[in-house]
Amino acid sequence: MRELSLHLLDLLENACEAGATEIRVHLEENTGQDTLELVVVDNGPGLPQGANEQAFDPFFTSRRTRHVGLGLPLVKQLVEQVGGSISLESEPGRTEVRLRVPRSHWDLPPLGDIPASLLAVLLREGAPRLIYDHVVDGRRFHFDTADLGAQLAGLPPAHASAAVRLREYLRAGIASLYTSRSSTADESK
Amino acid sequence: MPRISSVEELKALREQARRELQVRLGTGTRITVGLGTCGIAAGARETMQAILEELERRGIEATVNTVGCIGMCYNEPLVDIEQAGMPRITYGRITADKVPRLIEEHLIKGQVVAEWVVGRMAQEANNGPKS
Repeated sequence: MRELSLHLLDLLENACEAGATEIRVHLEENTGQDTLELVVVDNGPGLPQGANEQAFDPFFTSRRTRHVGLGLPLVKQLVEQVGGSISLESEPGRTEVRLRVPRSHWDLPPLGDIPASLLAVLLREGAPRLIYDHVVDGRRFHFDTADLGAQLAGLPPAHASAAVRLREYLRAGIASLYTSRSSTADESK
Repeated sequence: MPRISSVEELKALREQARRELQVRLGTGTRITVGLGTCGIAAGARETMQAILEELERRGIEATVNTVGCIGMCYNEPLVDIEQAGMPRITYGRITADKVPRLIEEHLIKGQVVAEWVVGRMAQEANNGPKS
């Protein structure tokens, strides 16, 4: 996939398909240490016992409708390609995928459109609560769907105009992390 | 189509078309985009974005939902459109560049874009209970 944000979307979709009602995403970039760390934690039922290693096998899936599951194998392939590390811990009620890669590696795709990936999850019917934290060199953007009311003026996120408004809010918040000023969406509240 | 023989008939036809358009757009249009791994890799997220942009640009009231893989990976990106009074239509290989025509023809003109259809569900089935 040509963006990290597409891998993130894939991980989020996995969590949704597994039945998670709450997903926490922590994305931290540190330019000084040249690291990018992504952690996705959900409260779904977890993988079957002993299946953590199998989860990286493209011909393993916990779903019954088909016999392949490419999301995690693709992330693992990318991480290994750039000399990073990836781990998966799963138990009933908590599954965590954690990856750490060198931020400026030549073969690392760009972060891409994170707001679009977050929005795609929020447009699911019965979307889970999504808590997103993005940190760049100590500057932080925090987003929680539990606090959405003000951004959407009472409309559901799946309403087209509300979705566009939400995407713009996310874009502005994340963009603020990369400006030279240390203003964050949190501080502006 | 009946032959139009007067300005009054033309006005009446236009009014009827306007009412039909209002009914279609005002009674719960729902667009669903498949976003499994297959859909994501095929560009479905960009399709979703293009749909939102087009709806916003045209001021169309609609709900946009995303779902996981439905098993027709070879036809991704898949877009499903449900509207009152019309069969539920599933379109295949709807990349972002096809979205303006899809919205124009299906939502505005009420015409199914036959060459992109990969599935069709009758209205009665569409109104039934959902699993």
